[in-house]
Amino acid sequence: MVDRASRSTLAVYVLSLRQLTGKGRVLTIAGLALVPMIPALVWLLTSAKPSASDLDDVLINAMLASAILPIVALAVATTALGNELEDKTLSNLTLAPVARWRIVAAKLGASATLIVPVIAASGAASVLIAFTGAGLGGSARAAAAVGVALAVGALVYASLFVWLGLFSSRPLAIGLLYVFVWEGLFSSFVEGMKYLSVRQYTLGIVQAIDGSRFTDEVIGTTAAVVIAAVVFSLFALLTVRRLMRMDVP
Amino acid sequence: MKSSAVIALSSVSKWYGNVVAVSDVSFEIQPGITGLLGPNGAGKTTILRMMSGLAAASEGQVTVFGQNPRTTPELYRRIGVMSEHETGYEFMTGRQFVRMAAQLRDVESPHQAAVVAIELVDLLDAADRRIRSYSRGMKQRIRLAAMLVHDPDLLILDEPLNGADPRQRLQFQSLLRSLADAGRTIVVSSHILEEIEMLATRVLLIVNGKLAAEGDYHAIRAALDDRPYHVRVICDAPRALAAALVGLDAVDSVQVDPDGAVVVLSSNMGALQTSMARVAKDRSVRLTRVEPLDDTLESVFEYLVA
Repeated sequence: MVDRASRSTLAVYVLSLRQLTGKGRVLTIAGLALVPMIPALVWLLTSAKPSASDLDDVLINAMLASAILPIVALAVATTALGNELEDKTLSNLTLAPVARWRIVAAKLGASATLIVPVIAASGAASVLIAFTGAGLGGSARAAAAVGVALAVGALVYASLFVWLGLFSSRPLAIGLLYVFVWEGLFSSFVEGMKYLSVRQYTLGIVQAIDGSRFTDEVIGTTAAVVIAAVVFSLFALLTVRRLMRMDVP
Repeated sequence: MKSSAVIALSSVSKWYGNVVAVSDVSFEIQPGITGLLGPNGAGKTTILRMMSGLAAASEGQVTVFGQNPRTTPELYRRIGVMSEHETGYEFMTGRQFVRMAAQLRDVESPHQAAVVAIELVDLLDAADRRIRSYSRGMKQRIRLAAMLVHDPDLLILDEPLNGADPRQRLQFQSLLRSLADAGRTIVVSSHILEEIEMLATRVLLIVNGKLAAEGDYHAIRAALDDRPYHVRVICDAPRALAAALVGLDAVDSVQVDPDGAVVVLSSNMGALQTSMARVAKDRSVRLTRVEPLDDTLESVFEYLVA
């Protein structure tokens, strides 16, 4: 038996899924998800045979963890509450007897419902194709590791970007700046910053599941999982706090 | 201390940066229809937003049914709010929008409740069209249906008649009156006096973010009419004019400012205008400027009456 509060939360979740699956956004996400397939298919169908470390660096790190994952998450999660603000429809939710944390949970859940499977499938499929094409062993394990790690990374990014959509009137610009400057540059080149990088948590989980990937350049498994969980929870709480304190337009 | 009023504002102020939107406003609202009247930018919407919990007061306390709406989401089972924005979820049909409002408020049989609410605003024929295809008036009505779908005890409506045609206005008045007769508390804002006069039994007059007057509409108007006004007169012989004005019935007091302006206090503006012109002509005094000093309330009211 579903209780009253859960029914209201479900209504917000269904509404959010409907908002997030507009035709334009779905096509954009699908297009982005297909991008990693291009090099993977090239490696499968041509004589170009990259090494395992090339695949780690180019496909998993540079393409999937550094670009496709955060950009898809950004495109979806910032709109979960950001569009409600922009369209001045957020009051439809906050003027209902639904606890703020339930609104955030529904928005976050809807974002994750869209982002996680798309990203995980895109990553796993492209890795499977690429490793097979390159004639490397362990392609199934690598694909599973990347799929799971990207799913975790997608959850963390979803939490971060749902908050950003509520916090800023320019979430896409700030998000892109964050992805390319913080995640792309600082976390790679500034000592210690890797502990504050979602990309690093993602690669750490890949390494935890498939020990032959990223053997000595990422943070440890425990740190990756624990910090990812902390960051996810922190931004979810910050979103609830913001929603409770802000003036709703 | 908790108030027994449905809505109570106690020394409430709201500011945005350096801009004061509402300043030290206190009042209580009981069941029946209360009109929030004032010109555009007076602070009506800000007050309604604080009442409905959408905005926090910078200072003071707002309670609805004795509780803070900002921290008590459960209150919204008893409150219906129709905000100033026309926008809804335009990708939905009217029926879907109202049904979702019912689901969010955990109404039993949301589908049936939506039908009843849509019928109430006479929009059943267009219920299955997308909201984006609705006219402005239809959007207002579907939002009204969404507000009524859970049969709230308190209704807060910001400029609800925007976009409504005369027939819809009459329907709307009739609907609100029947809800008020059934014991609901209704707060309606407008910058148009006729709207408030037709709907509300009690008026709160908001001017420049302050509560300028409250009570029965006719009592407010009488109070404004009886109120003495200061008038500043610039002329070529201020002392002669002041001496001549002192003896007039329409004049309560006269003083000559250091800058040479004559300041007259009068409770009868009509008589003052006539007699001042006559006195000036008799004394051969040339008037170059006559201006009310404390015209804020008057000008607002004149604006509202116009």
